[in-house]
This record gives sequence, structure tokens and C-alpha cells, in this order.
Amino acid sequence: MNISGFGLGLRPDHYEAILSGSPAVDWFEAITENYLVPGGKPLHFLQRIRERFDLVLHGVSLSIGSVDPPDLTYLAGVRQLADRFEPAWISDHLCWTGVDGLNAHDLLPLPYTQEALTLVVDHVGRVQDALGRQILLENVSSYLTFTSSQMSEWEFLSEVAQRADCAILLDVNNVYVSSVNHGFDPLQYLRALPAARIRQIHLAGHSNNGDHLIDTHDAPIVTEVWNLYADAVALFGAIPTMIERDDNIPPLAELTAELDIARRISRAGLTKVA
Amino acid sequence: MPLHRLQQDLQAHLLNGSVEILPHIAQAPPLSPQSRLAIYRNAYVSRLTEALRSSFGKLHQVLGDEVFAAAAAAFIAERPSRTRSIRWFGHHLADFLARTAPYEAQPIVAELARVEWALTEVFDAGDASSLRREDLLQTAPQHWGELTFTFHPSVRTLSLAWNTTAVWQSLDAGLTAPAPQKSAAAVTWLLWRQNLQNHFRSVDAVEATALAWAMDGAPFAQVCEQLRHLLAEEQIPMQAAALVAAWADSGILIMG
Ligand SMILES: [Fe+2]
Repeated sequence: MNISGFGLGLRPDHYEAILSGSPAVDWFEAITENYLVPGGKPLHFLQRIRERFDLVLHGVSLSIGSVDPPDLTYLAGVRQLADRFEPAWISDHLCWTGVDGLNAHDLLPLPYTQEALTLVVDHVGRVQDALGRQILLENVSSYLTFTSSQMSEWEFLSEVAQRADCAILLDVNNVYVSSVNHGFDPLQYLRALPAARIRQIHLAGHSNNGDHLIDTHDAPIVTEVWNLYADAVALFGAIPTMIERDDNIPPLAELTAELDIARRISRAGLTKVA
Repeated sequence: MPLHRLQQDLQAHLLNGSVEILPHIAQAPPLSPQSRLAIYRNAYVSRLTEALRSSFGKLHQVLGDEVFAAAAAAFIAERPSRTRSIRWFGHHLADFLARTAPYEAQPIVAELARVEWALTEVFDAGDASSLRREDLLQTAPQHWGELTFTFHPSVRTLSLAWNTTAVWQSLDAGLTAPAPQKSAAAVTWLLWRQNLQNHFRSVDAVEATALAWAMDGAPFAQVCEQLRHLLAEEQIPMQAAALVAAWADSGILIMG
């Protein structure tokens, strides 16, 4: 199965609005962990929304870069969820969330070293085996880099994707946030990626703290990120694109209006390329 | 530095502010390595505090921002998360409040946390289709003695010593909470989910006894037997049958 067009992150605040109207949304992305529960409202609404919309699953606790081995119980749960809801694909983040059995519930950065690369590639292989499918890994926003890094983030991400044979979920806002926080050229990042592996794009708002940006998903997308999205369209073509909003969640119509901006940029970019 | 060590050191910084990791953070203006680490440390504490606030909204109202944040910080420091989803962080908060100063001095605080946590469990407990009153009547009267009951996965009972649910209900209605008051005797509360909605109510001593035995798998005859020291002999079968019928109406019984 495949999806195309423009989606939104599925948030409980919008369940009723999604089901009572006909929102101009081609698909939804559900946070995997929110539906790894025994029953009740979350699964009820996911079921009803799935009956009308295409779906992808997006995890936040895979912790692919942790030295802890992949959690097979968790993966079995994700696979079961996927068997029930048939998402077009499953994604998570290129990061780690904890070590020695703890969970910091944050998307923590990796050092870009050969050791980390070998470990992540091995873990992706095990995860893809356990899930019985190729996964997408997303670049995260980061606020620090390690002295031990031997390559750039884009080199690391590209190497992981190629060696582990996984796909990429490109978060354009995260590229922009990290480019400001670390002082790199976001376009150089995009140009270095293996285009054929980019399967999905995330867009989101962030907060500007003056000398750094924080990936808060609590505000509309800023102009610089829209511009970078236009660059991504020019480079990679029509990639399924969606908006993530996790805080200050506005009415659904406000997000579908923002999604129309993405549609316009994409259409304009594709016409230009053609 | 090996990756394992690097992850342990960064995690230790998040958990307790330890600075072992500091020399391994690259110097890159405009932010110092210290401020870069602080972004992660602050995000860690505020994300977990926010998760607790969303599971324990009434407790947050009762304690106020400052005290709630202090209680959350102490809990976060004592019990780093081992759960997959942040939704389950908070599982041990009530226990923590019950045995930690200064919260232990106000036992209603821990009790309110127990109620709120139980409600979060009720919310997304497993699904099952409920029995109706008519389904019970399929069992012929002479076989009622052997009848056992299976309860909906969302069903919980709590024994509460304080006016905790009155506090919960006042806050839920947007009213000022009554002052904490200890009840003359502990009261059993029944919590469950019906048609995706959470419900709770108090149960009297007769129903509490019947529930405890029925939930433990005792057949109807044995449930009745347990009511002998609470009810007159001739009232027992009718009263017990009425309780079971009311359970069916609330949706808390399912097919065994
Ligand atoms: Fe994202």
C-alpha cells in the first residue's frame, strides 16, 4: 500500500471534527505509542478514522540508537497494531531515548561516529525483521553535538539509510532548527540526502529563543521553513507531506488551511521543475 | 569514549544534572556547552511534569502550580521512567505521595492521586461487550447458584478513607473543593467504563462484599453465603439478584 498527498498528525482534540466533517486531509499519521493500549477511546477512534482515511504509524520510543537492544516485546506490539490498522508504513526517529532500561522520553542526539553507525545499522536490520517491513527513520532537531563526531548529520543519516536499507522521513523543520542551532547550511543537508529513499516529509512550527530554536510544534510553520520545503520539493518531487502540531492545538480547519499552503508550494515547485 | 558510556553520561545529566558529559559536548557559538545541556535537562523535567499534570489534573488543581511542580520534581528524581509510553509514567505517584514528606501528612493527596490514576486505567483498559440483563435470564433459576461472573476489563474498586471523590467531583464541576475530611469508615468505590465514558460510584457494605467475592470468581451461591452476616436470610437471594441485575445495567459484566 502507498499513500500520496497531504496529511496531518492525528490528535485526540480533532477526533470529533474529523469524523463529523469531510476535512481536506489525504491521510493521518498516528503516534504509535498512543494506541499501544488495551482499548477504550484511542483505539475506538483510530478504528473509525481508519475506515475513512489512509494511515501511517509514527513511533517515539523505538530508541534505535541506544546501546540497549531493540525491545522485541514493544516491536511485537507495534506489529500487532500494524496488522490491525494496516498503515502504509511505520516510522520512528534516528536518535536514542534512554539507556540501561530507562526512558528519558526525549529524542536524544547521537555522536556521528563509526561505532554509532554500525550499531544503528544493526538495530535497523533487527527492527525491520521484527516488523516484517522496511521502516522510515526521521532526522530530529538537536541542540548539541559531540566532540567525537566524525561526520555530519546528513552523512550519518544517508549512510544509515543506505547500509541498513531503510527509508527516510525528512523533517524539514528539524533540518532548519538544527541548522540554526549548529550553524550549518540546511540546503547542503538536503542536497546530500539519497533522494530515492525519502518517503515522507514533516513540517512543523518551532519557537525562537533568540540565539537558538526549539522544536516545540506549538505554532504555525515559519517562512524560512516553507522556503526550505520549496527547496525540498524542487529536489525530491512530490513526497507525501504532513504537518505536526502537538501544543496550542488549533481547530482542525486552521491546520487544513495551513496544509493548503503546503499544497500550493508543492504544486508551484512541481510546475517549475516540469 | 564508548557509545554506552556517552549515553550513560548524557542520561545522568538529564536525571540528576551530573556534568561528566560536559567535556564531550562540542564548543560551538553562540551557545555554551552548558546551555546546550540545559536545554535537554529542562525539557526532560518539564516533559515529565507535563505528563503527570495531564494524568493528575485534579491533584494539580488542589496542590497549585508550585507545590505540584515540586512534588513532580521529587517523584521524577526518585523514579526515572522505565515505561515505553509516557502515558504510563505516574503509575507509582500515589505510592510516592503516601510515603513522602510533606505529602504523607495529608493522606487525601495520595488518595486523590489513586483515584485519578485508576480513572486513567479505566479510560483505556481493554474492550469487551457487556452482558445485558436479558442475557442473565438465559440461566434457569435452578442454575443460578453455580453462576459465576466475569467483569469488564475496565472495572476497578478502591477503598477510600477520605472525601476524595467529593473533592474530585467538585473540581470537575468547576466548584471549590470541600475541605479534606476523613470518613467514619472506609468507603468502597466502583470505577468502570461504559460506552467509552468513565463512571464511578460508591457502594454500600453489602454490595462491596458481593463485588469482592464475585470479582474473585465465587459462584452466586457463595456470594449469597457471604451476605448472611449483613442481611436477613430471606432477603439475600432477591437483594443479591438485584445487585447482579444492576451490574449488568451498568455494563460491568461480560460474557465469561
Ligand atoms: Fe517530525
